Amino acid sequence: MIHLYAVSAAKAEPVATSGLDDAPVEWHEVDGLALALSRHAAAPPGTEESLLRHAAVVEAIAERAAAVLPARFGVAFADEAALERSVRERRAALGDVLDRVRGRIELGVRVLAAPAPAEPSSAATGGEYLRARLRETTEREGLASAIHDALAARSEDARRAPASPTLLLSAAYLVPSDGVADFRETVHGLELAHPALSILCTGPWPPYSFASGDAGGAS
Amino acid sequence: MTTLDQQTLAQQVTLLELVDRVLNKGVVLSGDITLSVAGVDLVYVGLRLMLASVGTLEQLHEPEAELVHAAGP
Repeated sequence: MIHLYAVSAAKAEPVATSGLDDAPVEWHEVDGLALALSRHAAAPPGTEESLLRHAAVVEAIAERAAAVLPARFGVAFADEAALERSVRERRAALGDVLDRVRGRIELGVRVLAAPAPAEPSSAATGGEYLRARLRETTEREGLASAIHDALAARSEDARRAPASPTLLLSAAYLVPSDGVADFRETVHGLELAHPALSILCTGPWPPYSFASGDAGGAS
Repeated sequence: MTTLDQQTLAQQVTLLELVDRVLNKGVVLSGDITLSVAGVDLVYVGLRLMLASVGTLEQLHEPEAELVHAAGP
């Protein structure tokens, strides 16, 4: 079985980080694309160790290659022929997405709101209570959108995931490699402007959230 | 929130973001699925044990819609 770590535009240097189950990571070329893979007797299990190893290999590749598409964990290929067939099916799309992420990294942002205060009994009727809750939801949604818009303006592409009552915003931003400091400064400005919120910025990540090539916002 | 809490939170968020990316994002080529949706859920159960504060994970976790979306390539 073949486990795929990433698709790259050009063959990068040998990957020193060993792969799942300590298998060596090899490069395999198909139609001008370089595939980082390792070979296994059986499908690798979905353990934390495997996930972290997969991520470490992708990270090591992304540090050296200008354009890399991390592969999602949990898909294996019977042999090289099966892998090559899958790559050829999507060859044009893969090339387009590689062009879009070249020279760029991903930053993650999560915005946490304090849980809504327990509703005081001042809401005399069910109708008042519902209106108050609705107003609160609308305000939070507006705040999340304002923060997202400010960050999206600092990035070239963005993906926004579903939110929850406490997770106001969960999103990924595609930023030029030399734009990380600017982006973080914008995050810092938002933190100062909204002291009641926790704004957590992670990364730089390899462009996982932009590797599938879905249209922006459709995530 | 103290600095230590803030640090712990940052570490947990980073771990969660990493696992979310490896399992739910990334390019998908048609191959044999080796990790089912149920398998993905099990990974999160394991992760829950690893994180110091379950409350933190629940607070941070995106709604299930994310996983449903991720199921289709």
